[in-house]
Amino acid sequence: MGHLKSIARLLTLPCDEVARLVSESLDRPLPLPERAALRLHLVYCVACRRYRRQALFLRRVFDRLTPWSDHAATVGLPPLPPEVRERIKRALREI
Amino acid sequence: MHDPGGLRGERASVTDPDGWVDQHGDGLYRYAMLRLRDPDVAAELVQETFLEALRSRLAFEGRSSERTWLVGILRHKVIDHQRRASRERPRADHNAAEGFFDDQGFWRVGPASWPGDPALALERREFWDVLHGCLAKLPPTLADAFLLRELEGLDTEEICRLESINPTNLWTRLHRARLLLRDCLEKNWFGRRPEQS
Repeated sequence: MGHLKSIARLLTLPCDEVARLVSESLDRPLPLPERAALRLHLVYCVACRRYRRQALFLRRVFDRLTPWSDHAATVGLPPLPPEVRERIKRALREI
Repeated sequence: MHDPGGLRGERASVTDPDGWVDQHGDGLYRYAMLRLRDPDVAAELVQETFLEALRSRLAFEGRSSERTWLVGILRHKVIDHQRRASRERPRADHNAAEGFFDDQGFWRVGPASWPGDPALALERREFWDVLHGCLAKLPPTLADAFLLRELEGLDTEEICRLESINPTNLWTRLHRARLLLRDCLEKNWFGRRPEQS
């Protein structure tokens, strides 16, 4: 009976739990029952399918993010303030 | 990242520390600001990075690029700083990311269809501006965990050790961060105007 109840539960996961599983699948391998439940839900739920695609895209965004480099992807991060620059130069001269 | 000027770079740092700061200062500061969101601490750690690098310049053998080497030194300092801060002031999980789902567990507003190929956005300067704006809006607890995972590529065990949290806490933070970021990107980029292909 316990088995049937948990199988029934996995067959009807709500979207909030599915979204959580989608997120976890990015951080660790999901156990087989959860992985199966996730796959099944995604068959019939457009919203969660989109969420999964977009969460995977987020990972691609961060694969490309290299804030220490000198190209366009650093737009939105501030440069070294001039007074800090001068302070560092002074400190290096004292070595 | 091959740097043919590796050895030359080393000599340059010795003979021209000012130029060295000009060359690498912005890159290091931007990285520190992304991770710390605190200009004073960022400035302090960048300065310590240059000082430590200059003192140990003999250890730099020019195998990786100079920038990569400096970022590595700074990365350790940022991690140490945050680890100490987590221990001294443990933070509870934030209540943000409530309201995406209703009581039955359905999406209140389902994710929209993002037109075209979202990857094209990565080529646009304005997109990165929007992304950093969205990151800045994340609660610090969520941002820290998310960046350790997605920017630094650390695994669950490593992040839990640094932040003094358990895996369930971590996965909750990452889940909330992803919900919030996705929503912010949709509102400010993908949902607002169709991508030209």
